[in-house]
Amino acid sequence: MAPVLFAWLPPLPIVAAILSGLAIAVVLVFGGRVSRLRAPRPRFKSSILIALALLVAQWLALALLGQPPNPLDCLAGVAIIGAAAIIAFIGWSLIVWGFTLNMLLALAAQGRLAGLSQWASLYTGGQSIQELTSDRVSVLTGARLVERLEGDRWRLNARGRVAARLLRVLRFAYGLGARHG
Amino acid sequence: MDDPRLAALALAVPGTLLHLAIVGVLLRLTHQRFGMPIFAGVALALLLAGVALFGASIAFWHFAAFFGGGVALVVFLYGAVLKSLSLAMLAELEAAPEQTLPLAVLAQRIVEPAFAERAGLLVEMGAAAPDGAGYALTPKGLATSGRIQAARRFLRVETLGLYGGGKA
Repeated sequence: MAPVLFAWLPPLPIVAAILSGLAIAVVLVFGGRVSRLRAPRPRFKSSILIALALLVAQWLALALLGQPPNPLDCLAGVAIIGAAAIIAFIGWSLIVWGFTLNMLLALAAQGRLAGLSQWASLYTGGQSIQELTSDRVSVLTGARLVERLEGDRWRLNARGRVAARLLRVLRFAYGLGARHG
Repeated sequence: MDDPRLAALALAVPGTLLHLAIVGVLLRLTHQRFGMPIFAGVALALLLAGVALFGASIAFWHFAAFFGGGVALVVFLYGAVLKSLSLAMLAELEAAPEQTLPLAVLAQRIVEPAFAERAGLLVEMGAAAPDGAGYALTPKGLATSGRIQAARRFLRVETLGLYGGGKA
């Protein structure tokens, strides 16, 4: 029984990667107690860096103990951290930046709203829906996919055109229409 | 392929592409309903099929790691193309003359309809109710928002739903 069980246990470099992946959740859940990790974005970035550092430290320890991971073990470890980071980001972005969730919290803060513009104002901390639009465009500018022109206009650049084509391919692959909405 | 870890990688790559293809077909057939059960069910079926067909020649944990990473990416990209306002703006800009639009037009075409759609979703969920020209929180909405606030307090998350920050 024992040899069969051991045959199914993950190899040590994989165990190290699984433990490091779990560290992402630990940092996200408890990192808010540390003032430098209070803000959501630095907390998420730090959780990934800590997980990677932990993984490398464990692999070095294994190497020192005479069981160095080979390149395919390392690649599998990176895949595990990648999967853990993606899953953590989905949950984290939902609870921190989730659109519908934050709309509900804005409504709950007031109890009753006169209309969508008041809702948008509460959502953005007293500003307009343009502020929310600007916030979401900042994701595209941060990724250097669009550039700002005079008159608060935005233009797709060459990199943005490639991303937009990729987006169309993905929408097709998932059976979504060519355009959003 | 002598190394079962390399065989695992070689199997996981087409496995991920097959997952995307099958999920795409099922999402079309179900009109985008049951997204998560489809992603999870197809992934589990392919993982078991991979083990059943190639179990002796692949390293299971390596296969699970490579395939799991691929599936996580497929799920993440689906959520992004389905819901992301930023990506909707990217598509809108691509279709615009000279691929240029004022911020006000992006607000009008993307953000305002999305806001109205999510408000409708909250009404449909029973968390909000129409109140004249506006909206009112329902008891169910109060309970749900209380749970969310408790979770956010525990996690010490105090921001508004803006990427740029802003404290609630």
